[in-house]
Amino acid sequence: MIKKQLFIFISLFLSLTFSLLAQPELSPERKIAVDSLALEKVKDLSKYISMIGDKKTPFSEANRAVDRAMELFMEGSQMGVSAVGRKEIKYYGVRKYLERLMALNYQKVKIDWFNIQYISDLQRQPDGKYVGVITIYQKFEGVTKEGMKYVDTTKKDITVYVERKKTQVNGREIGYWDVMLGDIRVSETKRG
Amino acid sequence: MKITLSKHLLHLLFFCLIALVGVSTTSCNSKKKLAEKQAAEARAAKISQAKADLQALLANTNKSPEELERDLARIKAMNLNDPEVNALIKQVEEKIGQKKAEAAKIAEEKRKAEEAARLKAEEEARQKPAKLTLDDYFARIISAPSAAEANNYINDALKLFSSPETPVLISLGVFGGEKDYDKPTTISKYLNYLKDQKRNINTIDNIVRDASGKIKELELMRKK
Repeated sequence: MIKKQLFIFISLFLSLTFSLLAQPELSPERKIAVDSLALEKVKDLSKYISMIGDKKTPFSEANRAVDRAMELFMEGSQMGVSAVGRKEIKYYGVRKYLERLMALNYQKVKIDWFNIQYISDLQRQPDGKYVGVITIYQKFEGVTKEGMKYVDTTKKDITVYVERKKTQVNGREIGYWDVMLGDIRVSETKRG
Repeated sequence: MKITLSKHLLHLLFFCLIALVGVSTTSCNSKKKLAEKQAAEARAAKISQAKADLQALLANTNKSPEELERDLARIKAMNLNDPEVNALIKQVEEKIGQKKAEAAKIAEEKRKAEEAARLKAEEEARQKPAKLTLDDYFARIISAPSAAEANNYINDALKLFSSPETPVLISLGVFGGEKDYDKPTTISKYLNYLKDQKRNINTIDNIVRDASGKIKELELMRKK
């Protein structure tokens, strides 16, 4: 029995070790390219969120933007939502968050993300994936039918997962970096 | 006595001469009549043939006006001056006139149709925008003032590809001899991506076409 457990442990250890060794080491140039790729994905999300929130975006286009934004996330990722004067931070599944954003009860909505940067560099994990955290500032402006304006700025942290994968395209194998966004957590909210 | 004999001989000679002239005149007249008869028969035959030919021309539907005119000229050149032949000649001339009018009408219609087709082609060429390159489409999709207009450009651009699912590879660079890519996408998604993001951070690196000239694979490169 002990022999069997030892065998399983050694097998798992070896397979994990080989798996790690199989992942390519990133040269500084390559690391810059991958960092930049992950940042671009966050910028893409920023544009989708802006589109989805904008009341001028046609419904069909907003729905399509929700689907495209969802493709950026890992399954089960959550989005934190805060408000000025409310201590509690609510977490929604990303799709639910985007659908709520689309249906916000404002006459006009403007969302801008700025200062998008890494606060935690991409680090290689034991499973071979690279994980980092990118922070963004989101400025939200909502104007009601009555002309009342609500403005807040929220600092949010986005966990980013990057994994090296291979696929076949027209019969040949190519290597690519799969960037997936994880939870988006609110770290600070202030008026204006 | 001698004088009397001579007188009688002279009278006899005279009578013989008269008789000879008479016989000669009769023979000449009958020859003339025969010739006249033969000429009349020949003319009748010609008239008959001309009538038959003219009837045939009237019944013919295959000959062109020029062919009818040529055949009619041959008949008219015989100068038969026969009322029936003249009447048939008139009918054939009317037929030629009608045929010419029809041919002229058809030619005019054909000319008008060709002219209309030419004008239409010219108008279409004026209306049709200049043939756009893939780069042009990318630029127009990004700068389109509305989603509807961008979608029109997307639909046009998709015609350059073998399918909306044509793979699009985005190269990040070559590192240690190995080419790195972003996650592969499709041309339909990529064009919509340009519309949404309103920016193009890639350049065209390579285009692979199928047998019909449509793009079956597009490789882009991230701008430095």
